[in-house]
Amino acid sequence: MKKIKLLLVDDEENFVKTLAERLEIRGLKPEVVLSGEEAMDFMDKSVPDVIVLDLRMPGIDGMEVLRRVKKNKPDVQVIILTGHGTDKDQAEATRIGAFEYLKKPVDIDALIFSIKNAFQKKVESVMVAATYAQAGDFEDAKQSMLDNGLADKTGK
Amino acid sequence: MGAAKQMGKVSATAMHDMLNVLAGIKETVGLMEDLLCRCKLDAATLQARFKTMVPAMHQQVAKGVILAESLNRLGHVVADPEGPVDAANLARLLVALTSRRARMRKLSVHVEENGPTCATAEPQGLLCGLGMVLEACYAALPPQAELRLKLGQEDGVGVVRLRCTHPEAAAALAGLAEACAGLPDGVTLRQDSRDSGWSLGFPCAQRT
Repeated sequence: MKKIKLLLVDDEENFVKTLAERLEIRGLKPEVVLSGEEAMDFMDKSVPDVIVLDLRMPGIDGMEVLRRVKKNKPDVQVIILTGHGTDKDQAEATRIGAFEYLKKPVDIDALIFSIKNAFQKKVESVMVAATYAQAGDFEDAKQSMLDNGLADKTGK
Repeated sequence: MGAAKQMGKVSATAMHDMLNVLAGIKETVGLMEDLLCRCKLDAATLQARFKTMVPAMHQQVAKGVILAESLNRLGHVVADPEGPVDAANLARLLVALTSRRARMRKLSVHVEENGPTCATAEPQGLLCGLGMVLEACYAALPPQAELRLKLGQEDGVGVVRLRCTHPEAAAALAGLAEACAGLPDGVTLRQDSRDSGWSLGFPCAQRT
């Protein structure tokens, strides 16, 4: 599981650092940032496979982070983990492209299950695109990447 | 906006805070369990770790108790007021319960008393009116602004003076009256010509 590049984003420092340690005990190696701004700065230097993201944070909130991630790094899978659980927020997050929407307090095994599934989705998407590319079906490869959020519409 | 809607908004914000408190406690307890059961730590190391984690949990519990007590008091004030309610205490409760929204906007809010304490026999009206004004201020004020609420009386009418010294505050709050259209009966909002601050007026309880 250590191969999963995981980023936790939450402004509640005690909560997120404790969660990070519990995930480490279970074989993951998460990075931690405490704001939306720090998350965007982090991603300029290192792109995670999966982000666990709080919604309500001062400054750039989680929904804006989700929008930017899905626009600029669409292959990154985002799991929302929030204490603010409105149906409207859940619908919006899902529409933008969140992999899953979980509510605090969360069962750690359920969170790990979700992280593994999110990573699996990313891996499968990359493999499908690579298979098409290998077969010379570059148009299909490109479409597969678009369908699975591995490329944006500019073809990057 | 009715008292029910205002209470709903305040409750939702407070419960969001409460869920974060519970999440913090859950993770700390979970980590203690993990350290005991999953990690091969010696007794001294365990003790050292627990020494830092136990106070953190106490802090979270204390925060949760304040939230729960504040919401409980506010609920009783609105549902079953036993006589006039101290306006400053009501304002403090409301600010405490909406503090998360202020924090999200990087604002600080302070409640002060200016002169004799004013009580109101219509706490729902003050709750709705002040709730609307606070919500509009939180949405409009720039980050790092400091909002001061001064409670007092003028000519037998209760007053909450809202002041903010941030250089962009006056412009930011220019539309406050429109944003607070539909104040409850008896509650008024006007801009003070002297210093561009705002004043929320509400009925004082009659002294017996």
